[in-house]
Amino acid sequence: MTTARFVLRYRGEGTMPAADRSRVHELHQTVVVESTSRMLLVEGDPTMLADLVATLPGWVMAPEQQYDVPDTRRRVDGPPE
Amino acid sequence: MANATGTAQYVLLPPQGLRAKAATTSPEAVELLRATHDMAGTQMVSIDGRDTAMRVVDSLGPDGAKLVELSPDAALSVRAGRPDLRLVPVVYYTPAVLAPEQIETAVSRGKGAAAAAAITIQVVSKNGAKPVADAFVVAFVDYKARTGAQGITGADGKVDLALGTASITLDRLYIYPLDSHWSLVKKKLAVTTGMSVTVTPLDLGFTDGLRHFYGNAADDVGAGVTVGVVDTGVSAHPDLVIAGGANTVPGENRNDFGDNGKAHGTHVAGIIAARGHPPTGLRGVAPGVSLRAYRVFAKGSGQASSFAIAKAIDVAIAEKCDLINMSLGGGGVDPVLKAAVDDARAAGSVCIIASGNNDRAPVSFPASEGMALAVSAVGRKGTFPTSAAAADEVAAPYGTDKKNFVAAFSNVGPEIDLTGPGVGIMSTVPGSYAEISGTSMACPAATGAAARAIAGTAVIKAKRNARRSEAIVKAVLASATLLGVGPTFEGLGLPDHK
Repeated sequence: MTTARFVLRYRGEGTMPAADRSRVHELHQTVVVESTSRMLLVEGDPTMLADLVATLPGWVMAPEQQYDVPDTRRRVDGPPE
Repeated sequence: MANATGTAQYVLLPPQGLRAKAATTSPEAVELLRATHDMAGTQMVSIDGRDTAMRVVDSLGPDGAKLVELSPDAALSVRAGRPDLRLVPVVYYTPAVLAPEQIETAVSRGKGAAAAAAITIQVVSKNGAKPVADAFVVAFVDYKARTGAQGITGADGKVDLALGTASITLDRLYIYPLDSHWSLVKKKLAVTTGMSVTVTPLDLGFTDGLRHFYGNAADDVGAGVTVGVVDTGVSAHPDLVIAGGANTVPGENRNDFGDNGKAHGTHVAGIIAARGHPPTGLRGVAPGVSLRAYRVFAKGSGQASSFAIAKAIDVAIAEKCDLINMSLGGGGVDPVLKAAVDDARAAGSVCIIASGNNDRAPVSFPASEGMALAVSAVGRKGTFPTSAAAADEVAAPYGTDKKNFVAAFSNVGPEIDLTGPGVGIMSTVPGSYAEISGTSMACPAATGAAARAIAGTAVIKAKRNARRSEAIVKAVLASATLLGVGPTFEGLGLPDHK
């Protein structure tokens, strides 16, 4: 099974429903790395997670992405030929 | 990432959410989602009348999102033919494995670090010829081909550059001091081992681009407005007053929102709200704002997770930030981060986001997100030494005043709402001051100016909801003045610029 990290975000009113949170926690071979009142950072099987999220109204899900510190300094790509 | 067949995986999504709804999805888009639900193998699918090869790997039901494989041309066909659907590249991240930082792997550090034949250069200050440590030195043998060597000076100001010879004429030499000095560019420079190169100390009384357009504001300018800085954290500095904040990096101390070692967030914060007094300190655009720091980059790391950023936006909303400065971005559209930016707007806060530094590329995400205010960077001739690296960023188009120009590095496009000075900007860094260029600097200039535009107005006291944030956006855009470089380069121009 391939696992990856995903961010699940609740878009409904208020905080995420406790029942929804429980269903994610109970998902087979899924680890909740961190949570807030509206989001879960989870590690698990993409298909299983997507299938679950599809049954939870008001949620969006996306792979965790990384953003670099912006930097405009010039850099060399390689040594001189 | 493309596989051996030249195709790549994407998620094909309705315009909102993961399942199509009649209220938000066109009948044609729903028809395509349904037609591809049970599709086996690679088949030709009609996209707006054009046959397009597509393989559906997985489907979240007839009206749900699809995991698909497409060639680059097919992906373009889908985007062009079905703009009412979202097509997002699939990105997989392995836990706890961060991409190596180019600057750390590609450079030598200090004298004696390089194994190949090297030229040793010493960087010294014009102020007493003192060695300048921790300067990033980049020597291009061929600038167009981007070949050469680079390194960071040691405590003696020296760096070995692995150029394979003891003397050479460089195409270009760039020196970026860590702090206290202007950057430097020299072209067609003959270098021999043992030579010294001199950099000029910063004069905090100098009129740089920020001070040219916004002057030195009084202490109470921006008072009543709360500004959040989502960045590398903000360190204590004599010129800064930090009202509070949070660290939203998973696994780190929530209360450690000081700079993570990269200095970027401290520089951004100073542009907004520094309260020093030149020539011994610096002033930001709106020294009177209440400044809050949200650290999203882990300690010493050059990367921030979308989770940490979205969480920081949520905390900034909860802590009643009116404006949220985000000098970061890049990559494809992330539905979670987009949702966080949208939620901020719905809760009465406005995200102001840098357009990106990819040399006139399209506006990067999340600045491209419709609910954010996207900021490009402009500069002005005469506000930095002609020898500074900033001089490399002078490029057309020029403004009505021909001294004003759009920074060569700035991303531009129809999403640009505002612009700000971002070339050769002096600001605070941990323990000192530094000059940096970027849309990262233009963005906080625009944020500070936005704070000036709404300070003392009724909108600040309005109930926190979407109408409030719309009123903030209207007031900020109405305050802007065009420089004359064109709408895709400056949007409505410089906010609160008289």
